[in-house]
Amino acid sequence: MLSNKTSSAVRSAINAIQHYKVLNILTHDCFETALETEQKISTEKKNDSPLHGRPILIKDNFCLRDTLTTCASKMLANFRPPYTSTIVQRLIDHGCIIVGKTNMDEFAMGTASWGAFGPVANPWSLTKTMATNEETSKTVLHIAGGSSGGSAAAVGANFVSIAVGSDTGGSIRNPAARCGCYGFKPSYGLLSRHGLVTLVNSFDAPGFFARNIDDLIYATNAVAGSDGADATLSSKPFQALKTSSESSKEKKRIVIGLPDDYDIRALSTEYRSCWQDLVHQLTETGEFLFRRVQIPHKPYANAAYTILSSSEIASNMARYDGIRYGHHTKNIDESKDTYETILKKTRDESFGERVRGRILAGNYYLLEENYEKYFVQSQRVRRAIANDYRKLFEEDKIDCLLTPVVSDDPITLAEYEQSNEIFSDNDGFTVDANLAGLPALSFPVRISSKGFPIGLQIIGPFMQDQALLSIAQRICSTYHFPFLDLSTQV
Amino acid sequence: MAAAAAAAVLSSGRFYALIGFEIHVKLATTTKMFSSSSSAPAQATNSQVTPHDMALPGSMPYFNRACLEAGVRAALGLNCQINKASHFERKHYFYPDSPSGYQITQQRFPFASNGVFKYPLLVKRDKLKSSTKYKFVDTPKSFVLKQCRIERIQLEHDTGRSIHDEPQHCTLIDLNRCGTGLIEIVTKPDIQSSLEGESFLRELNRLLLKYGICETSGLETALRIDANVSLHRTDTKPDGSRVEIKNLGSFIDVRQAIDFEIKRQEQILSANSSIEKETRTYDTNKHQTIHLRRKEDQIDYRFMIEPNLPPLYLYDDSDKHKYQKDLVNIDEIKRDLPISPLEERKEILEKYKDFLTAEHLNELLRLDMNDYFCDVMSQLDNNHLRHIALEVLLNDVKSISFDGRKIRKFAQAVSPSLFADIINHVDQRIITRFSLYTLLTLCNKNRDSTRTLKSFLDEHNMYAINDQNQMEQICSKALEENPKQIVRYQTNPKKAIEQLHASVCKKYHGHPHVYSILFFSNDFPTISFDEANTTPTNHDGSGSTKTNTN
Repeated sequence: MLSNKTSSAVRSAINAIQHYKVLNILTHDCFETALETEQKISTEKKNDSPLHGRPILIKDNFCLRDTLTTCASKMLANFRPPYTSTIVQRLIDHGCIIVGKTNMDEFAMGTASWGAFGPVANPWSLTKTMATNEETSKTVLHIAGGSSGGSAAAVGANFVSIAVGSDTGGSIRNPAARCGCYGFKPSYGLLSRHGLVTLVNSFDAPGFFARNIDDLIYATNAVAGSDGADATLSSKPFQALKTSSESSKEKKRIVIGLPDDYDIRALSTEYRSCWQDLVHQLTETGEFLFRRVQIPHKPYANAAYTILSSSEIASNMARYDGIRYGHHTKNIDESKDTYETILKKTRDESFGERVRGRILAGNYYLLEENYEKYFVQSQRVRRAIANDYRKLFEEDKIDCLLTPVVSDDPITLAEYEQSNEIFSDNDGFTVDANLAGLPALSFPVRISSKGFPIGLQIIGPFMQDQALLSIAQRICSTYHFPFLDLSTQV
Repeated sequence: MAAAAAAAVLSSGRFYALIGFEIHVKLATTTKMFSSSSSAPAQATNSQVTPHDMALPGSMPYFNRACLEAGVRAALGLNCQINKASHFERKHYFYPDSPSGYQITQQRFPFASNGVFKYPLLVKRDKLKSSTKYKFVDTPKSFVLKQCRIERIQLEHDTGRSIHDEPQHCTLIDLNRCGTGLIEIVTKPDIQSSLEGESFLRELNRLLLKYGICETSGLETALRIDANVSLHRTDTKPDGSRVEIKNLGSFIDVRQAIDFEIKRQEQILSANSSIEKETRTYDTNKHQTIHLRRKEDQIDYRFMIEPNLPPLYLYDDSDKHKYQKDLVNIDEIKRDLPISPLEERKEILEKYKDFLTAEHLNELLRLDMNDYFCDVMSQLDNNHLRHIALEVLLNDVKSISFDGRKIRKFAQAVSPSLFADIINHVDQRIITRFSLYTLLTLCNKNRDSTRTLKSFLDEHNMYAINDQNQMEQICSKALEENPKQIVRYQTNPKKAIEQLHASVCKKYHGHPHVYSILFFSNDFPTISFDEANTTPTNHDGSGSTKTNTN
């Protein structure tokens, strides 16, 4: 039985998660094994990893051996993989204790973390009200962003200090901004994707949520490095990232680019002024120099992202036929159903609307007569955008870009239910880093007038993750962000 | 029947056929193409399956370089241009034994393209001489060499296997084969008849085996062939219409399917209809092709670059740029290649030129005997013995192996050393030419390949009668028993001798030597294996004995 008496890190995390069930952070908990593991490793000789004994949460699209890995989809509601993903295994090896699998958008498609098991609620909503019943909760609770909303909410509310997410078009950075924590998307190819249920192979990047940058560095250092199971991993040997205390104290002036193309109409006045204010604030320190920059191919980024991601999604989703694992329809008419009709029923019953919409779009783009027109053209756009960024960093000597992540405060769950967006405007702030494979960090800056965190994003050169995080340390040391901590109120 | 009809269509001068192949070759690698799973055949169902092989979510492919090395060997053997950068693509279609819903292949950017492959036409000796079509045999030392251009070679993986259980009303799936490495060789439509097609495939098969690209020629597993066949009126240009015959499993099937299709298309064209683009399958029981689907029903495979695999890079000695160590060097592979079948045959002709002609070798090839021939040759000490062996192969063994169709079984039952031993015994007159055939048949039926020649000879008492006195007695006795023949000898000596032969042979089951029987006609013919067609065709040894008998 779960005992409430012992004071342990894992116990506190469990208590907080259970207390705030209304946030719907988990799809599946590992409480008992987590407590057992904590017991076991506390008696072992403590290794010197800063992660040792830390309770963590992992997004429910990372495979964990014999543990439900649902991707918040009915399709995988009963799927227990027979293997563990590379990065999760490495975290376990460093002494991390997995407390649960976090809720998300179905197959990580979306920005509300609202899959087959209901929405994740934004923990900041609870600073204003306490939801009582399900009906009213929808009007007082807000979306947590997505798709890694469960992980972001748990870290934002301080249930755990580190959580794992995945970022395909902003799925770490968007909810991090919504929930008021750091969200780090490393360079494509820095961390192994083996065991991360694929959304878009060429965009997917595993990453982390944390409440300080050092924790992001510890986690990244624990999991990076070669992995024979992922052929797309960078072949360069990984050099461990340095924390703030380890890195040199040399204060070179940082040149930061401000891309005009990110100042879109949808960006709210309040969020724009947060961006501008930080620029002024940093300029005044004398350590930062700002330059306005252009990304010529930015207008085509969203279209290219939509086409490329839909195409890969259609392809990746083809494996879900219900034969070897996953949902299999019970509605079979043995007298006339063929393989195709059973397949269709299985998929219709278990895929949500958004997933089916993207599969349909992707298959359209991949038709022989469309491939050149859409897919190949989008690949060109993708290369052009990567090239735009490369030029900024290499030729214009920009150290990183500072941009918004989301355009306004989160809407309520009820409002979200009314809307029928499949791709949101907010994707526009985040997809470039995925198109170009660049490292990017979403960090909290201040609280909005309605009491929600406002985050901003920095984007750095490819494989310069160390430099990017060092810059983030320097930026964030210039102000104090009031992190939310719901765990103390349990 | 179909063969004659097809040949008639082509020789009528009114039509010409264009045939191209897509050949799937199962690579002889120990592990699969994109996973560490074993690729051994015939293992317990679903015992060789990794997460990637069953397309578990989150699993990723990792390329097995042994497949690429095998592919490069094939590309070199087929004289292809090797592309130093190539890409993998996904080919999408739903089928229960294709777990990921797509196959990883190289549709648009294959690693090898634009090759050309020369192959000897396996035409019968007499046809070779009489044929006007193949006049270009330049010297007796050479073959009728034809060539076929190779469009491309691509790497891809195999699917699993569906087992349909009709009584239980279900389909079972075995994923052991899923993910094993294949190369697909796509030819240009340069083949013009079923004979050319079969000749091409056999030479290709020899190359693939020689270069260690695939295992055995147990065609059922190593090669699967799709044939594109189109017949055109002589006065028209090819219009791209063609019929694809899927999944042919043997050379014989390929030949028969092509012949059937040529005849079928001739009937369509003769009725002034046109050939529709369609996919057909070959029914090996009914010996005919059967409609599968029309062009309009063709699946759009929605090809897409495989995003989980980086481009495939190859390099050679000329590349100054230092690649990673585990990349494949084309020149290194080239240096390690064994001699090609074509070159090997040139060497053989040179080595055995005292008795072996190109025609002989062509016949050996046609009978699929050349490997066995070479093995036997190396077991024999001199050209005299080798020459005897060659003639025995082209006569007795040809007949025993049903024109080479069962040569593999024969080669297994009668090891080259046993065969060489038999030839030695024939030369030493311990075995007669008559009993040789019987002996080979017995050996062929024997399953214990370690059995010695002596045990055969002992068991069946097949030692020749070499004692002259004994032979004289036999002959005298034969004369006594056949007084009619003595009378006949005066009018028709040839016939009388033949009859006496027959009676002696019948009585002594081939124990006496031919020349010994002829002894009583005071004649000592030398047995020339070149000319003597002394193959007895049945057990009682009453074969033709056309030795010179005055």
